[in-house]
Amino acid sequence: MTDNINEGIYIAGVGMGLVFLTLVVFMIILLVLNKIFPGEEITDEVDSTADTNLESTASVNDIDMNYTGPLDKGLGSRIAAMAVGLYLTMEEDKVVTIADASNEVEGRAWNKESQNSFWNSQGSRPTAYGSRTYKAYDPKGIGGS
Amino acid sequence: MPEDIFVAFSDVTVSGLAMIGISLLMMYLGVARKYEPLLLVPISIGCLLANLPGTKIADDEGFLGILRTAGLDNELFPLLMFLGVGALTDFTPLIQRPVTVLLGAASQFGIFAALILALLLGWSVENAGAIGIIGSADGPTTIYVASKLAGEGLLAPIAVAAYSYMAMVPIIQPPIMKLLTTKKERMVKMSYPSKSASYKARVSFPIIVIILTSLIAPEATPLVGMLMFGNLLREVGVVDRLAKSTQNELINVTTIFLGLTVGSTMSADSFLETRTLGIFVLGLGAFAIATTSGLMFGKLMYYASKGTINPLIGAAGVSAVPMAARVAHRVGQDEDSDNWLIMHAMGPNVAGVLGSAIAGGVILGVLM
Repeated sequence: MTDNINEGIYIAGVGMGLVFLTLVVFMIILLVLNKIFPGEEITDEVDSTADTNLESTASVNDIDMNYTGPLDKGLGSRIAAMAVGLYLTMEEDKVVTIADASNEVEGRAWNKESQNSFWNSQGSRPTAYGSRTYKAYDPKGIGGS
Repeated sequence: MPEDIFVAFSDVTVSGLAMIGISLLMMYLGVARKYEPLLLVPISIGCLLANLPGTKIADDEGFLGILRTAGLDNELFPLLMFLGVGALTDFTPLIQRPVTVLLGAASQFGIFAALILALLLGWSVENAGAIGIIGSADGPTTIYVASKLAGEGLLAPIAVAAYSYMAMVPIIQPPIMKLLTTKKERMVKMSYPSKSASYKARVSFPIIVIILTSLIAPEATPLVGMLMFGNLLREVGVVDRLAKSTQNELINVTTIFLGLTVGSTMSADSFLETRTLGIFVLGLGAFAIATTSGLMFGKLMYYASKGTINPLIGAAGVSAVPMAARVAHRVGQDEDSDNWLIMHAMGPNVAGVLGSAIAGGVILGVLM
């Protein structure tokens, strides 16, 4: 019995030591890899989103909401373009309004990805992380080389 | 002859009926409660088929016996599962924040603590190793190690315990997380990495890991090799067909076969014993200790980083992907609904997969 316990403690010591050693080596490898092959800076998407919103707002303000004439002044095409743009924006990132509501971390790629991952998996056990975000979380899309 | 038609009735036993009841219970848990349904449904059917009176499906000549010989006795199915897991795993959060790999290492303490506890309760050292690996919270690793170490009839209860507790991570972990962390710690908002993971880093990482693992922990090479091969298929970008096949068809087919064969090992003789209860209790202990050790290391990193690392992500070091990361995220959001921890928790979560595979290899190396 005592021999068994001693063996157990030995296995635990050696085991945890080896696990830590191996993973520390992996950590060093990752640090080195990040030095040798640095990724690109993750750009904050807030500004571009804000600009787009401002432009859209300006466009809305330009429209004479009381106009009742024919749509030959470009109003129809502008409304259609805005509708399509709005639809595409919503399709592209359905949580953009939630990101906008956050003052500290809005618009950052990881934050959006976190929100997507979380909301997409509500109500059921999620599919595996990698599979679920394969399209939405393309590292190249946030600056990978 | 008419009497031959009803011969199965003479084979009906109370213990056999009890096993059929257990298989139906697992079916209920998988279907109605959605507890790891991908595994519990095939396991329950395997158990049902193996315990039907007079069928002999699970005998060596039966089709479940043939499957068991082909893929479980020689550890083929767990390795194929790991290939698919690797193709589904995104190591980017880990590459972007390498320090979180340490949390994946700390959580493996649950394996070795359960091993010692099992020894204290009188199990042989081999069986104790097989039981302890439940604490890895990793199905393929558990089955891979247990199929080599576990004594007669122990594989099934160990596998069922592992998958049951993996399904119960959202129930087991939050009380421990809230008990061991303060509100202030749970509310820590972590900063996001400033750089993405480059393509070259993502492709180099699996190759280097395979080579280093073979040097440091050679017994873990089959598991880590398959995991990283799958990940390489995913990241390299030129074999999308292979990556998609491993992410879908291969892992799905293997899941069916693995579940059926594990279920078929659940015979009344081996399962309906008090030791099965002991395995479930020890497995729960292994999970709890793994969560605790990850959290404690997370607290250590919280203090070392002067409060910039949320210790909750330490609990994600148990490898149940992505459930453990989601639980860490949810507990963080209980305190602050604007705190998005899930991507931070994915780093230790995938590191836990690596750590558990290495821990399994180390146990095999020492005990075999």
